[in-house]
Amino acid sequence: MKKIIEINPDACTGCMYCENVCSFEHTSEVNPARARINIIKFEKLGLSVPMVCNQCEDPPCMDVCPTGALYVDPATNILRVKDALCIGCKACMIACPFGAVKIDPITKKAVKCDLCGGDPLCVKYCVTGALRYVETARAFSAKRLKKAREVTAQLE
Amino acid sequence: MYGYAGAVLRVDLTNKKVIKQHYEREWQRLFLGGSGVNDWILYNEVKPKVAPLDPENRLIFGVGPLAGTIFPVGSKIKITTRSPLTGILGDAASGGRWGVELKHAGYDHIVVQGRSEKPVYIWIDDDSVEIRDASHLWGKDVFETDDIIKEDLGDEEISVAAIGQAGENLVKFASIIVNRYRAAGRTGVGCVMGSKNLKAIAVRGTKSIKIADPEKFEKYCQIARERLDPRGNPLLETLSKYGTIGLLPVYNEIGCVSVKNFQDVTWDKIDSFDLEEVFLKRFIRRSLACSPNCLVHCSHWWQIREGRFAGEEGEKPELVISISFGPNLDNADMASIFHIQNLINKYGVDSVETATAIGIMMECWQKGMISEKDTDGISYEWGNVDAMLETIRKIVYREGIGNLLAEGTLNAAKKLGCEKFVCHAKGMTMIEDLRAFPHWALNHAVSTRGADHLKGYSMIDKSGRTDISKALFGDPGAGMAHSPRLKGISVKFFEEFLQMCDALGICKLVATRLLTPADPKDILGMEYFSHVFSSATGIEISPKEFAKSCERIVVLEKMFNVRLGVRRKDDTLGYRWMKEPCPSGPGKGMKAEDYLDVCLDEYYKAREFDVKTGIPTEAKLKKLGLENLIGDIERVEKSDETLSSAKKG
Repeated sequence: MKKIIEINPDACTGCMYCENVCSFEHTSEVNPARARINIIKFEKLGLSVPMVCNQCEDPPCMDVCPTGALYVDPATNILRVKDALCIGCKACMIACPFGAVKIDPITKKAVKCDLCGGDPLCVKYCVTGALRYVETARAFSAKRLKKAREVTAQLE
Repeated sequence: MYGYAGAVLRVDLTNKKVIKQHYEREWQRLFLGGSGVNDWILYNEVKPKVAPLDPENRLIFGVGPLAGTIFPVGSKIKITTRSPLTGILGDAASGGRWGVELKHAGYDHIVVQGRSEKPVYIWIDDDSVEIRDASHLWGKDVFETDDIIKEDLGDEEISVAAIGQAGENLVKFASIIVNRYRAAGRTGVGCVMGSKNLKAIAVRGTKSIKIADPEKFEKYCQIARERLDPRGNPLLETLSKYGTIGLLPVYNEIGCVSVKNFQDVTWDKIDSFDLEEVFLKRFIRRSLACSPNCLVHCSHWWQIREGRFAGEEGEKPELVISISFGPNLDNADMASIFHIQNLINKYGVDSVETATAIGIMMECWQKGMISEKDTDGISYEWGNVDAMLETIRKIVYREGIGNLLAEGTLNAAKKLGCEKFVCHAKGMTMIEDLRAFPHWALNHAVSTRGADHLKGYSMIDKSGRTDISKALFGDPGAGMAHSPRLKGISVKFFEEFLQMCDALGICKLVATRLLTPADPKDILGMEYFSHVFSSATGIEISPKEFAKSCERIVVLEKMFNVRLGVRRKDDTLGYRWMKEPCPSGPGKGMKAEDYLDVCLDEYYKAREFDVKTGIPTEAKLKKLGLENLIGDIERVEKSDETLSSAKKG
């Protein structure tokens, strides 16, 4: 079963640890500009929103890639980038509706979340559960449950 | 360069010149970075004849080598200057992400000197640094300034450090506010920024922070992560859930909360600040981390849902502002604390000094020493929120009575004839009572920036951790809250440990948790941090040399003050703390004059300072490699460039 990173902005403290460990894991440097996940801070609202690849079922980034650099790894079902094929044309950046694909400022190749091969570090170190690694079918079930509770409370 | 960004940015506002300097390797070994290098620059460039508001005073921003890495403790900045409030060393720390952004832009420090003729702000966009016109920002509060700069530059993700109207109007305890809600609050750093006509520094950075030995560094980070993950950790639960305000009920029980300007130390209205029913349920929306890399997240986003301030929202408040405007002013209306938190951030003014200034007014009123004709018609009854709001505004705009209070609580009290009411050290006030706690009394008395716990507070005395004391010092004394035993030695130790945090650019509140685990055999002390430092920066340094660097920074700060004429006689506390017995709580009857001298003797001996004068001995300075400073004391004493002659700014 395919798994995704479920995000819950209301639980995000904005500590940005996910960004930092992500770039450190993938590049041995710390740099949000090289991270595959980014925290968008709305300072005025006290709100931080994690933005990361949603592992689309019909990924536009893969469709537009002229060299076949974007591919679904058959072993893990994860959408990845093959560095050797990437020409840095940025078509994938244009196509992604979430801005979740970037060009690495050092390697100049497309980068996106590879779920750390199936055990995403960002999720591992997210202490509030703002990021959870869940099967697609179970994603956002907590949200449904919370809403159901609110509706029930109104009925009573 | 590893750990560090590798450059020091110099901005001369008089000549509109910007210079990028290479970051000296030797500075990093001797002073680590952050506060340490700030202090070294200050010592060398701000001689006693330079008054705090003289253009030649420096305003130095520093971010340490661990800030913005993956070390799992919040990232802090330190701002250092000569204080216009006290005339001695001035510094203030802050969270926020501004400092980390600065490192990503390529700089570890910014040294601002000179004075611009017209209001300006600095815009740092990686390698491009501009001094820009800020005439449209002058007169605006911090929130408005933040909005306008982001709009002007067309980027919402820029980080801004700014002063509000308090800094512009040279309120002696104006603060610098970072990322809208995080305050470098103390000692008047914002007043110095205002005197330079510098409204803000905006930063955006996209460069990498490199790590010398990623594998080793990750290993040390993993050790800290295990300790600091708040999930199911009873030692961190209170901090994660409530923030520092979670300490309020405990502080009230043990008698260290200022009530009605320290006339009492336990508050009968404590239930009005109930953590669950009032604080969390009525106001708190979500938990926030104040700065990058903090897993503990002790800050909050709040909303006021009903009453006169309904609809307002913002970040924090923490323990100190809650005591300051709560029990200290006998104010049981918790919603007003949240509102005042926003006001303090918008105006950019120190919460403690503002609250103690209002506190002496209320005590004078209570005792019939002032009446409405002295107060521009304000009636200073205890708990009068309107009086607080009006006074804050008057201080910020230096109107009427506010103009007097804007000079600082002690200075105002001298004019009002109530100097004995002021609980201070070296001209700066603080809000926790310390009479029953010799460690805190000594720590405040010798603190290099005046009354403040953050230069050397103990994590182990109030919690009775005699086991940790034994492990650290071979004696249980430091864990005995009300006893003077071993306090000279424990203050020295904690001063150096906390200075290390300021130098490395990490949060001391969380870092000290590593020092005080449930089981003393798990203590992660300076030795551990020396390995973290080395693996991040690639600077080979033995644990012993590393500890010496932390001590060197503390002694350097002492020397900055000694050169200004500060001596043992100045390492003391305000009248009430010294002479009036603690009115309630487990330490009832205690007062600082009964034990402070004994503690000071032990402290100077441990520091290898002259016990009579409190001046570092030549031998000590030599041991620390600071022998070049030996002549400075004599030179200054001869030329009369002392504190009193240069204090007037």
